[in-house]
This record gives sequence, structure tokens and C-alpha cells, in this order.
Amino acid sequence: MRSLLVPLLRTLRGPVALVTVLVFSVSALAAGLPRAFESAFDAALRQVTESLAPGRADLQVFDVTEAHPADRAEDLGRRIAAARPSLVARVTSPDQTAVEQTEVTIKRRLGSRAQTDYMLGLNWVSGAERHIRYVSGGPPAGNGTIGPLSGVDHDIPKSHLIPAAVSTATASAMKLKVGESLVVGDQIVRIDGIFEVADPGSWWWVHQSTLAKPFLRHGADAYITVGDALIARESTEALMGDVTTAWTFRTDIGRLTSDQAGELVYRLGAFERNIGEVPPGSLQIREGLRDALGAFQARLASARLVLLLALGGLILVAAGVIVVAVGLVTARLSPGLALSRARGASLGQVAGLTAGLLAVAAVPAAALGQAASWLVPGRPTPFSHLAPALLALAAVLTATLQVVREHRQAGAVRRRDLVAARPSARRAVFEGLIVVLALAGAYTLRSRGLAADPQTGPDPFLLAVPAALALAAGLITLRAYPLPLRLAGAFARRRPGAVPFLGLTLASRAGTGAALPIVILLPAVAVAVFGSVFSTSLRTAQESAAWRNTGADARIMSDAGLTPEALERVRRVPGVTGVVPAMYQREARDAYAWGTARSVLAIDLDAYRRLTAGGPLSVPPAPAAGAAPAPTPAPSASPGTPVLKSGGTVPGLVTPDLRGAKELNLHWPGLLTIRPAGVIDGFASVHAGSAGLVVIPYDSPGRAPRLPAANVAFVAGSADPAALAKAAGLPGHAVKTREAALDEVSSAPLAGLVQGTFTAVSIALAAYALLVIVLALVTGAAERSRTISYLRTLGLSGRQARVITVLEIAPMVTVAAAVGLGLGLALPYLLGPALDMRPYTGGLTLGAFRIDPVTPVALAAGLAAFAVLGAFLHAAASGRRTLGNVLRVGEQ
Amino acid sequence: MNSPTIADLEAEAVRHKPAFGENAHILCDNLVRIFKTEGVEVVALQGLDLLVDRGELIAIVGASGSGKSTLLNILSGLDVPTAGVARVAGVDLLSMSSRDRLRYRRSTVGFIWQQTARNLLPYLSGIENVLLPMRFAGKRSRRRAEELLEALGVAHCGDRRPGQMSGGQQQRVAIAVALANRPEVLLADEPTGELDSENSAEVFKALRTASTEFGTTVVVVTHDDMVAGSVDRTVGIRDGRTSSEVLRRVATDEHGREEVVAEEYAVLDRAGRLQLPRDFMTALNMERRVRLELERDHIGVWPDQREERE
Repeated sequence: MRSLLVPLLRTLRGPVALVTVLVFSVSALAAGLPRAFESAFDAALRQVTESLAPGRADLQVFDVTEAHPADRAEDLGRRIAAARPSLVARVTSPDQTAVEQTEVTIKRRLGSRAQTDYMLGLNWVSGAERHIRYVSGGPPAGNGTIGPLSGVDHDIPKSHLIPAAVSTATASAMKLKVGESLVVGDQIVRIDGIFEVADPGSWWWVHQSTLAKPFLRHGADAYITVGDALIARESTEALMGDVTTAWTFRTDIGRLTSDQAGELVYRLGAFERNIGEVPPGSLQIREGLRDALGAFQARLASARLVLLLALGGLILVAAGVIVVAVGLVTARLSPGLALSRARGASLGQVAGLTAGLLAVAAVPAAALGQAASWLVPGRPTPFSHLAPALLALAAVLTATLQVVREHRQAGAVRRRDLVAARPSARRAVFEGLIVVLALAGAYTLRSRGLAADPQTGPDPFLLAVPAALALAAGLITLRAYPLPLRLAGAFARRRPGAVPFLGLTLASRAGTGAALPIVILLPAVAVAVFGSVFSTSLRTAQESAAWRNTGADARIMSDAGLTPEALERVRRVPGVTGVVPAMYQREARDAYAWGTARSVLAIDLDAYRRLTAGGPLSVPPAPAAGAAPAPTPAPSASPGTPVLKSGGTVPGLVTPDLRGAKELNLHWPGLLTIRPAGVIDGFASVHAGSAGLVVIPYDSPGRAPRLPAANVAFVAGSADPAALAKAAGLPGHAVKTREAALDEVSSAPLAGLVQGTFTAVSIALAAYALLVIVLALVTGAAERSRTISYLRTLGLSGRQARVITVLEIAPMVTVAAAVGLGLGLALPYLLGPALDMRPYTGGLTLGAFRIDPVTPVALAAGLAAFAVLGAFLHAAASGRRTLGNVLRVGEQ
Repeated sequence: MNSPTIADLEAEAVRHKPAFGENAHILCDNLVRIFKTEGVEVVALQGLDLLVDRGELIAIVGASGSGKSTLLNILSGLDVPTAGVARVAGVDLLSMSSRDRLRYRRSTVGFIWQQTARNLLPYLSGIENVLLPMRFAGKRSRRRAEELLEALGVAHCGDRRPGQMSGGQQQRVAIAVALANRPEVLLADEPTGELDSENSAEVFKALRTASTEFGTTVVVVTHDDMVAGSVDRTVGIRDGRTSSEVLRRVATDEHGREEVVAEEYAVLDRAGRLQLPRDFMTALNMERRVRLELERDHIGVWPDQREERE
């Protein structure tokens, strides 16, 4: 049979080349898109750690129960490192071992009676010498004891003398000099050196920020400067009080792939459970990775569903087109095979010949497609490895099965005067089962969501629901679509013209010939329409997210504060149409609940509402003053300057968690009494989360006179961000525009991926859908030409012939486009909560999908119009052929 | 000496009489073929009888839809009868497994269709087409293929594709293809249907060659009077049954000249059924029933007098 292969290939080069091109293109897409997906998933995974506060993703092991000298700490560090599970070990690497004595108040300087409001911690950190440079003095050395002393220091008994070094920032904030000794708790700390940070950008400093730079902490009535000093290795034995030993392992999430995220969450949990068993048995873990990865897993599952929907739709459609093209090959092959069978070829011989022919067409194409997919950056998945091979196999098997079915009986006699057999009950039950499964899947998906298990990932049955829905819709359409056609045919029969009747009759008799184009067109339109709806909704959600991110057209934030003058300069920047200042305090301590802190935002809500009018934000009305004492405006206040008053109760809007409180007494740092007068969901542009926030009028009394006028300014208008920053006297990053926020959200890995995928898939789907229409026309061309030519011998005009052809094709295409449109529009509702927009909107949940009917309808109508136009042109081209020739072709 | 009784004589006669068609190369006895799908039945053959001797060349004629092609499909192993007996070269066509059927098509029968384009693979040359059935059967003899083409007068078509041959050449190559595996029976379904008279004559000559030179039994379904008139026996089929036979023999007249004499017979089946030619019935207005009278050497068939009187 091999000798037949070459002439067959030569004869069928057209259809065979079509199969080759299709298998290549689908293989490249099926193998390439998952790689692009994985690449974007990995990028999104890296963003997980970037979105956390610096150092939060690192793995830290603590022991707070026992003070370990440096040598023991390092030995323990090696044991802890060895106890890490292999996946944890791959992602984390030992960074630093630190023995830290918690900051305690510097009672006084040696030789002085004056008290200080400074606190100093004593740290030994492994490898510190590589990250600092002494500018004065030298490294701390000479551990020992001191005292008892006399003079002003007569109260000092024999104490530990701990040599230490501080950073230039700490030295200047605490006014420390080399050689100076401090009384810190029961220890004497001698400043041996002052260093500067040699590599300020180094990750090493993330966990040692207080060693580099002191910070301000609320005291009872004032701020206290808190900093750390570096001590020598041998001094770790002399530490006392609260001593923490910390082993920090730096996390490099880049070594992890997105599909290992679930495994890492599990392994970190296991590590946490096992670490208690590592001697001394009091070790604990601190890391922020698990929660972040858990959330990432959920977002990933949702993104996978959307992408699978697009990819699945594409592969379904493409596979359908391949089946049609393979059908074209086997149809051309069939007469020769029938002859061969009659001449004594066994079924195996003709099946083998067909398989060989299709293997030549499909296998190299699949291999090339696989090779082309390597051009796409990203990790291959098992699917991307298997898909091209499966496609080639499917093409070969489809053709072989078609041939085996057709030529099982050699020269089987098919009489044309017999009615077609009715479809079997078995098939009806099978189709019913698919419909029921699809609906049950959609119901489960709606009620349960994807609920991904961190270890196993989302349920594959639920991921297959969109494809099952498309299949079910296709099957129902196939069953139901001849009915309206018959009705229309019955109506047309009573009309005088024969053309509509003939066209509709031909359409309803199309039978299985019409099945494939419907099965292919329908999901193509559905996925394209769904993509359009999804993209529109996504854009809206992203815009909304950008609004919530900046709170206005632009937002200026400054820790140092914005003076009234700066605000006034901002107002005058060209393009600015309005400015609303606000003061946000992240941690205002509750005066009566020890340790509890609330966030307070002082803003004029009415002015802010006017500023954001036209945007998607809903701003509640300012709280009513109620029984609060009427504020007395200070006559000297200039616009933008908060009016400062003292005492009294101010009304405030609170987040739902604080709704029950009668009164809130907060230090800001002066005492502020707030009476909850309403509820606000949050204030996303300045306050993360939707809890623990109190919004008070901008000019509330009780604000400390020492504080600046504002630290946030919401700006309306289209001003240049650089000009705004310059006017406010701040660096560029203090200003964030809504446009920049939108760019940020829409260019995030998953968002970009989803948008890009839908664009690529929609284009590919449109191409395949058009191709299938062309193929459907070509496949039925001979039969149609014969019918039309026969009718023309009876007096049908050329124009009538074209109308008949259009009427024959149009119902099938229209029905497929209409049902596809309906399914595409219904999919967002059918899939419901499983379609999570948060991965692409910076965490914002979208209320409802927005349907812009123009694009989807135009899409479906465009495809339908193209199909009908194709049919018309085909009919026009056929009309030019000689009747005799057409009627003789394929005569039997 | 006991003289045998009549019963003994009858038993003896039956004992020595060969069974129906025992020696025939092709035997069809009461052959029935019904095409059936839900609710609709088409009876294509309704009890057809046919005997063909080894090496015989016969033609089958009949109106369109009379069952000729169905019979040929059954004989070629492409279709299975619904009931009856069909045996070709000792092979029972009703009880064949699919493996037997394949072997039967490979080595027992050869087939030629009416459409010249349907007989040959258009992308193979003449000789490759002849080699094809040999390859299917696992044999390959280029010499045999060349001999066949030579014998059928189309040796020059060996390297040509079907598209480069005339209709007659295509059909003669098709005969060579059908004869490739030395079949015992050659079946041809209107082999000259698409040809002009000159090409028809060449094709018929090739069929005759197959019969005489290779000893192949040849059955030709035809509408072509030239073909029907050139074979030794022409079997007519009507309504799925064999209705008549025309036998031709060469007779010498009183002047010593040889001429072909054709005599038409009605076919009498084993149950004694006989089809009267339609024009005979029309001429004598015979309907529903006739009156038979046994004469010494013939049976008289008379129209129903009572019916006429009424």
C-alpha cells in the first residue's frame, strides 16, 4: 500500500495541505498558549512577594524563650536550615542570624543625671561587618565589666560593660558620640564606633532597619526615639532581659513555579509543626508567605477557569475544523478506497493507507507546532507536551474511523430510494446525559465556586463546565433547529414562489452535513462573545479599581505633611480643577483600650463628593454634628488650613466593625473623642482594608497643633503629575495619577494575560469559524451544484439559484450565531461566582458583568454575514459552470 | 425377474439425476434480496434462478430496476442475499465470513463497472492499476500485468494514467485489472454503457478473450444489443426473476452457409413457474388466468374464454 501513498499525496495535496496547516497552527496554539499562561502565572507569583511589605515573605525562625550566645545561635541556625523541607529549602536561603536584646530606655548617659527619651536595643547580627563602614571609632571590642563607680554614677554597682556601635542616623538622633557610655537597664553600653550603611539598597537591611535608622514611637505623652546598636559576637553572652534569637531565611520566590505554590503552603505548614521538635523545642516561625500564597492560589484557580474557557473553546473549535478538513480528505479518498475494497483490499489495508496518509499530513505538522511553541517563553506543561501529539492522533484516528465505518462492507450498496434511519435511542440518552451533566456542573459551580484545594488545585470537572455547556447547547440546537425550519417551510409551501420553499427544504434536509458547522460555529461565537463581555467588564472593573486606588484623578501623599502653602501651589497647577486635603493617621491609640489602635481620616466628605462626581465612587454624606458642641471657627484661618480646636466630641463615620462603639477616645496624639454617627465601608485610596477606620470632619477639634495641615491631597483635573509633585515640593513618587493606577492594574501579569489571550483567541476563533464555513461550502459543493443545476434545467434562473443557496446556508449560520451569542452572554451568569475578577483588578470584586450589546452582536452578525456572503459568492461562481458538466460529475 | 414398479423407477431416476445446478459454475436458486429500513422494503430479487457453466460467456439484460445490478453485486461478493442459494465456483455466498469474502474478491471474481472513471484509480498508471489487486493479495508480478495488457490490446497504455486513455482503453485496462489475480469469474456491469460502438466492440472483444484465452466464466449485464447479440446465451430478468433466455447456435443452411440462429425460451423454474412474455399476454388479452392444455409434445396456453364471454 506504500506505493499508493505518494500518488495519493500528490492527488490530494490541497486537502492534505489544509490538514497540515491546521494541525500545525492548532498544535502551536495548544502547546504555546499554556506556556504563555505558565509564564504569566509565574510572573504573578513573583508579584505576590512584591506586594507584601519588604521582608514579609522571608521565613523567620524565632526563639524568644532563651538567650543563645552567637556560637550556639549559629549552630542552631545550621540545624534549622537542615530541618527545612526540600521545597522550602529550595525557595529560602539562610541570610542572617541575629541575637537581639529588646530595646530598653537609656536611663542616662554615664556622668550625667539628665534623663533621655531614647530607647536602645542591642543586636548581634551575623555578617554585619560586610554591610557597614565605620566613620568614627571602630568595631565594638573588649567585653568586660565596670563598676562600682563613684561620683554622679555612684549608684552603678558592678555591671556588664557592652561595647557597641551605632549608625550615623542613630548617633545623630540620640546625640551619641564615640567613647560615650550609656546606662541601659542594668548594663553599661559604650559607644566604640559610629558606622554608615555601606549598601543601603541591600536586602540585608530589610530585617535590620532599626539598626540603620531609628524610628519614633508613641510614648505616654510624647514620641520616643527607638534605635538599635550593633554589639560584638562575644557580647551576646552578656545580654539580659528580653532576648530574641532570630534566624532569617531569605525567600526567593523566583525559584518557585506557580504550580508549586500549593505544595509550598503545605510544606511551610509542615515545617511549622516540625520546628517545635528541633532542640531547644521553643522555636517559632513567622512568615507572611502562606496567607499570600493561599490567596494567590484562589486567584490562580479563577484565572485558570477563564483561560481554560478561552483555550478550551479554541481547541474545541479548532479540533472541529480539523475534523471537517479530515472529512474533506476522506471524502476525496473514498471512491478510490471503495474501488480498492472491491478489488480485494482488506479493511486493514485501506485503514492503514488512510492512517498513513493522515500521519504524513499531521505528525510532522504537530511536531513543528510543538517546536514553534518553544519560541513562546514559559514553562511547558504536561498539556502543552501532549496536545500536539493528541491532535495528530485525533486527525489520524478520525480519518481512519471514518474510512473503517464507510468501507467496513466492501462496495456496500447504499440505495438512494430509501429513507434515512432514525437516530438511535442510545444516542438520545447520551446527549441527554451530556446536557444534564453540563447543567449540574453549572449549578455546582454557581453554588460552590471553584473552591480550589491548595494541594490538588481546582476540580477538573468544574473546569470542564464551560466546554460542556457549549457542547450541550450545540446538541440541543442540532436537535431543535430543524423544527422552526419545517414550520417556515410549511409556511413557504403555501406561498406562490417556489424559491423560499426549496431553500428552506434543502436547509432542513441538510442533516449531518449541517451538524459540524453548527457544533463548531456555536462555541466559536460563544467564546468570542464571552471574551468581549469579559473584556468590557474587566475594563470597567479596572477603572473602578484605579479610582479606588487613587481616590481622585490624582492623589498626593506625604509622610512629612503638606503645608497650606503647598496645597495652595497645587491648586494653581494648570489643569487642576479642585483639591481636597485630608489627614490620615494609620495608628491612633485608643486612650482606654490599651494597645488598641484605630486609623483616623479627617476629610471634608461633601467637598470630596463634589470632587469625585462622575466617578464610580460613592461618598457618604458628612456626619451630622448632632449634639456635639458647635465648632467655633478661628477667624484667622485661611482656606486649607485646618481649624484647630480643643476638647469636645466630634461625629465620625466608622467602618462596620466599630458600629457598636458608643464613643471612641483616640490619641492623635491629643485626646479626640469621636461619636459614631454613621457607617462607611472604607476609604480604599488611603486605608487598606475595610475595618478599624474612623472618618471625621476635616476641621475636627482635638487635632494636635504640632501636626501639619494634611498628609493627603485629592486632586481633580488633568494636571501633569510631575508639576503636581513640584508644586507640593515632594519627590515624584508622592503623586499617583488614576491613569498610572489603571496602567498598573491592567498591565499586571494575569490581567495582561487574560486580555491578551481573549484577543488572540477571538482572532483565531474568527479565522477558524470562517474557515469552517468555507469548508462546509466546499464539502457540499458537488451535491449542491448538482441540485441547483437540476433545478436550473427545470427553469430556475441564476438569481433564484443564488437565493436558494443563501437560504440553504443562512438558517444554519443564523441559528449557530444566535445560540452562540446567547450562550456567550449567559456564560458569565452561568459560571457566576467562579469567575473572579479580583486577580485582574488589584483585588476589587466586581458586582455584576456589564454587557455592552453592540460588540457581541456585531461579532455574531459579522460571522453570519460572512457565511451568507460566502454562500452567495459560491452560488454565483457555480452558476457559471455548464449544466451538462455539473450533472455528469460524480454520476453513478 | 421382478419387473421394477413405477415407484422404483422414479426413485432410481431421482437417484441418478444430478441435483439442481450441481455442476454449474454459477448457481442462483430462488435468490431473494430485500432492502429494508424502517417501514420501507424494496424487493430487488424475488426468487431468481440462474445457472452458468464454467467458461461460459453470458449476457444479462433487463429493464432498469429489474434487479440486474443487485444480482451482479451479490455474485461479486459486495452484497449478501436475503434468502436462497448463491454459489460461485463452489463458494457459498451466503455463509461466507468476512475473511472468506475478502479471499473470494481477491481470487475468485473480477469486476468491471459501467463508469470508466470508476474502474481505475486516476492517480495510478495502467500497469500500476493492474498490479494493485495483486498487491492487495500479497503477490506482485509485473510480467503477468504486462501479459494481460498485451493480451487485451492495451500494452501501450501501461504507462499512461486513466486520464490519458480513451474510454475503450480504460475499460480494457479495467478488464486487465479484474483479471489480475486469475479469477474464475469475471462480472461486468454494462462495461460498454459509456462507449461508442467502435470502443464497445473492442471491449467486448477483450471480454471474449478473457473467456476463450483464460477460460474465465464471464457474466455481462448490458443494454447494448451488440453485446447481447454476440454472446452464446442472453438471460432476461424481469421484476427480480429470470424470465427468458435466448440461446444462439451456429447453424448451417442448405447452401452450406453458417449463420447464427437465436431462439428465445421462457424460463421454467423448479416449481414449474413460467413467465409469459408481456407482449404475448397483451396480444391475446391474457389476464389473471389462462387455460392450459397438455398436448402430446407441448402445452397449449389459452385465454380464459369465460372471462372473454363475460
